[in-house]
Amino acid sequence: MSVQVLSGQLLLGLINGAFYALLSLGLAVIFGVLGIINFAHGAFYMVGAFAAWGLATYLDIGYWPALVLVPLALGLAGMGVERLMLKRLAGLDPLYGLLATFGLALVLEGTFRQVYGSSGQPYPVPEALQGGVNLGFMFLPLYRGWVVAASIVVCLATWLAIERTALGARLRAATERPDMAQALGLNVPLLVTVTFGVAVALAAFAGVMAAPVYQANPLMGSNLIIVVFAVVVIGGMGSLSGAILSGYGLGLAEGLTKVFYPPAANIVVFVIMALVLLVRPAGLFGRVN
Amino acid sequence: MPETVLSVTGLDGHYGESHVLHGVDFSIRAGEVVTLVGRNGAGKTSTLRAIMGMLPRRSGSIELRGRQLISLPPHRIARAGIGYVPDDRGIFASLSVAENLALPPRARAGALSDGEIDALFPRLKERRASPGTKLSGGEQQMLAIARALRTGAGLLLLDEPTEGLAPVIVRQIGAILRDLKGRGHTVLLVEQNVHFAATVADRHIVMENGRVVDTLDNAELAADPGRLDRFLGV
Repeated sequence: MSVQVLSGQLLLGLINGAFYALLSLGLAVIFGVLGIINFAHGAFYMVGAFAAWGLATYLDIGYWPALVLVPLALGLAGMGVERLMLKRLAGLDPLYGLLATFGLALVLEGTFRQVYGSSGQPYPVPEALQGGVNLGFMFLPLYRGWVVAASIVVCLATWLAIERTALGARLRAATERPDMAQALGLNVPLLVTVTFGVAVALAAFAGVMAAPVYQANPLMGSNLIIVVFAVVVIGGMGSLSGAILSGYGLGLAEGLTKVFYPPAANIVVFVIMALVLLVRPAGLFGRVN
Repeated sequence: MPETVLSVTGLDGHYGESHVLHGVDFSIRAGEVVTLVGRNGAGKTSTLRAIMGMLPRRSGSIELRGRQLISLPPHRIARAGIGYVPDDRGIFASLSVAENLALPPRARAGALSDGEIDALFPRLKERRASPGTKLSGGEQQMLAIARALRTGAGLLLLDEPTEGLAPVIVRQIGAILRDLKGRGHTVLLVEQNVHFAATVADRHIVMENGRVVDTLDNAELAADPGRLDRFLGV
């Protein structure tokens, strides 16, 4: 086998991993703070891609503004969803949150499929990132390099903000013991709303970045979200670094499987999940309470 | 006579179906250190939690320097100037000592500076970078008190600050409470240890079955030690 084939598949794996990491990070944050398994996360990612496509198609607004505007707008919409819907489910069995967000995902997907069909809307690679560079051992399309780099920077920045800043300390306190954090004067309800909004914005950001790679397709979210759930479980529920590292790791594992045994590429993540759960039930980076 | 800092009237509290507070009445004046005493289950901890807005359902009146708190959410009650130290100390395991200390917003005048905190609690200074729960029980208690003081809260609610601690640590906490009293802080503490209570408090409020049944000051306690035993004895 040639180096080109191997490194090409590894790059594809890393691209998938970049999206896994962005989405699983948001899911892990939401699970930590709201105790909700957000089934709508894939739908928000899909809406992000469609929003970028819509901005370009109807308003002639390009990729770079979309990369800022779409996460902002969807983040705000996410805060609305938290205030109007999820907040009312606080304190109930987590199943209610799962069902509500699953319903929301079905509504969003159904709406976009009804309006745009399921064939996908093409979205061009931004001009500045067209073409590629020859690295000697492989050809690197610039846009793909950008996706991997941007996702690493955003994941790292999010992780640092949560683990190393005063605001992040408030978030960790509200995750650990919301009632105590509030009794110390932290506005926990506001913190929860903003956190949900930021996690949705991360999904929307991933969606915009995905549009030139996968097109904007109503089903792109539900195809991805099941794998992302497995990523969160493998990383360890509630572990942010676990969610990020296993996102990239599992993307690479899929890429390698495509090289060595392509038929298993679609199930390798779930096989790894089963093995990890056998050996470490709390996930690779999870803490057992 | 100093102004009334906290005035609780007709306070009722529920946990789900169980009615735990039945019209609790008491008040505390500025600069006083007051204990809530009573048997397990008498409603002492529930009274503190009700003041902080942490009971699922409560009614009645809780006034802090004339400001009604009963309908406020817990974070606004805390910001009104109440520092709360729960019976489990409420230290966050995922935060370092320094992060625990800096967590509550520091809104009010009269907050202790970091230098004053370091002087009052020298052991915390040495352990700033440790995770909160790597501290000993006594250090966790100090951290919880320091955290409440750093906000500038004029009223401290302490739930059993000496529980499970070695006598030498209990003496240190007693010294800290007397020091705070000297600085004009107002303190309401739940305390099972009547001897400790008598060394730090001016007045003792006795609770039974979710009600206040007696109030006595230190002179009355010294004159008739049996008066508390009636409520605390088994």
